[in-house]
Amino acid sequence: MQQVLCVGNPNVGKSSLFNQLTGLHQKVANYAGATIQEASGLYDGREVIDLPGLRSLWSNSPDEQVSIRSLQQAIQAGDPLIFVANGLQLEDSMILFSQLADLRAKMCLVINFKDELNKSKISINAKELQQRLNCPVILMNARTGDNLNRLHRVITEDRFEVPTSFCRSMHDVLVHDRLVNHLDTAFYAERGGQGRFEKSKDHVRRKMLIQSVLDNVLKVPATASPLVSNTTRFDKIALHPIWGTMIFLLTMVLLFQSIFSLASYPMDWIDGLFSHLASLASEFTSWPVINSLLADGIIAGIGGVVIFIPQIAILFLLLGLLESSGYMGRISFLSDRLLRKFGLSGSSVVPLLSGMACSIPAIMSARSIRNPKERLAAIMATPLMTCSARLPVYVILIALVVPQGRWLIFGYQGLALLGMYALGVAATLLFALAFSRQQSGSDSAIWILDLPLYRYPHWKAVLQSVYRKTISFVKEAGKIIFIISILLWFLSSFSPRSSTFLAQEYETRSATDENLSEEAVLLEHSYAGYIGKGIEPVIRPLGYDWKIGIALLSSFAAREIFVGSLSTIYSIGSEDEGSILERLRKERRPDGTPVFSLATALSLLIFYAFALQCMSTLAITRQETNSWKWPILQFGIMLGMAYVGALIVYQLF
Amino acid sequence: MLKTGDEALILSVDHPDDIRDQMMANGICTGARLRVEEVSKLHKMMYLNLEGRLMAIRLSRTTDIQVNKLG
Repeated sequence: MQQVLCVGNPNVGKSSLFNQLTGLHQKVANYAGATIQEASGLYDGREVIDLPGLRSLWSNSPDEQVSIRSLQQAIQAGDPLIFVANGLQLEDSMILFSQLADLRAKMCLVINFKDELNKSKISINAKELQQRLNCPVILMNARTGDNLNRLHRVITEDRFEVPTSFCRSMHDVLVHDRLVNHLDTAFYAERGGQGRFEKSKDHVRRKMLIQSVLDNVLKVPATASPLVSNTTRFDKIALHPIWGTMIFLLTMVLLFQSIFSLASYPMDWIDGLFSHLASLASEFTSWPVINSLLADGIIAGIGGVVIFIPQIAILFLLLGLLESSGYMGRISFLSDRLLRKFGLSGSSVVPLLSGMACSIPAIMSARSIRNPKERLAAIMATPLMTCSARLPVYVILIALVVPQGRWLIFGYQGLALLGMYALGVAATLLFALAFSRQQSGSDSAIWILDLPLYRYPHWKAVLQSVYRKTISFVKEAGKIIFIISILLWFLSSFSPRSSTFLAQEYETRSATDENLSEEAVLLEHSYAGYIGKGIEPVIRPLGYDWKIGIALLSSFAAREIFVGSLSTIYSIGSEDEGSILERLRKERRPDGTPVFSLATALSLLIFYAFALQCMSTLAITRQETNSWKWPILQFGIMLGMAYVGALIVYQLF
Repeated sequence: MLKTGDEALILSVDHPDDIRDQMMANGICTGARLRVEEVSKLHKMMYLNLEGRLMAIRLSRTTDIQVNKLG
């Protein structure tokens, strides 16, 4: 199948164009480095590939090397390229275009942001440019698909051309026959090593050539573009030492307050719905075992995660808005100096903030960090950021022990959640500091930050992204939870002991304990009960009983399972069909004190804040570091931190 | 030393090769025209408008960039 590659500088709209062509929903965001790996889709019987942004063929960072390797193969195979350029910075974008032209790549030049060019009164004579370059040139708006029909004709009629005017010029000036004849992309690497000023000369010559090609084609008004001047005006406030910091802190506080306040109503509805479903299922068939499996196993387990969909969707929505607006780059600016003290830099902000959604893409996005030492520190520390899978655990534990009151406009529970996120950030930074101090290597990587223009969030793309991420969360977690719920139900509902033993045990103990139920006796002597009691000596110092121990053990594959497991275990042990929260609140120890006391809840919060209970994260760390050493170290250190931290907190409270 | 509001033409970038390559890939190279939008001493960053592209660069990296001030 023929391949067509979307290529260009970072943050020029390649993924938006890719989505328009393929109907897929590749992540789009308003910052450089949003695309971290190739994505592919189908368009009219061809495979379209979206490559991570690339500044130049001279680049040597890991993320850009991915694109260079793919380009090398595609050009050798004769596959065409859709070169996406930012219309507002056309000269800049054309440097890479000219390098690809040297390699005789068949191309079509798409000049994006047509709407913003109009607003900025920048005119580009596409027809004239097409003649000068000798390859198709299309002015379009990749977000809306304006002029997509023209690109469609270029692709379907295979009108891609080698921009020969560029090649010939560059050939005369710079390039030897061997490059043109043999497509020797190693040329760039070799030439770089030949002389200190070789690349600079090449760059200046290219710029001169580009300026001559664009002469009278590109008309830019003498006054600055209103988009640029509005951005710089707003940045005077957004990057101000005092106001900028306050805006950043306020944004974060509002983000976490919204997670609690906006989500409370739909969460109550979902909770009510699942309680109702469970009560219906408890009498659904004439077989009590099946009813128990449905009500206490499957519905309780799935309901334990579905209830958190509103909060997770709000988190993804607000992070999506930050990414789409261009504010993410400003957070990098504001935090660079602080992060440097911890062995990181402003370029670590994207992995760290992405880690609030999920560690897996966050760790992959660390590819854009050029300094190897800093990149490794970011990969190792990112799982300590509070990911969305921790959210259900935090929410249920906070709701158990933190009252619902308010301080001014801020709810106590929202503030407690903010505190947990702050703990995650602090732990991440300290871990990165300790880790980078142990590693040799230079700290002195160059640091340049692209500050994208502020743009109105692309609502459709943001909402689609929220939908996809939330569905993916539910599907991924749902699959595991479904299996674990059934397994837990089985282990908790059946006992290796005989029914006579269980009846005698109930009779003996109910004489002294009038609150004891038959279900509780069965649970205690079930397979799960014996497993839980087996690990109880290890977890008792942390304040956990054997039931919490089972939930803890089951959540080592993925931490979001914890709430579902708790829900299943406490449903089986209880005749109450109320909400998860109510069931947990009513749970008592043998001495009558609540199981989920302040000390236990805090200890669990600390355990979940630090422990790396996510198999996928370990796998991605292995992939990105190309070694098992780092994920094993990461898992061991974080488990140690979780255990010691939870122990200290429980003993203190 | 460049100040907020200065406009300048880059004459040369006297950094070691790897740093200069990255700067060049980002458009900071001989012949580029820039305007300093902000010099933040708190954040130790310089906020530049480089031929219409907005970017920030650490102040420590700007000392070896030779420029000719315009206007």
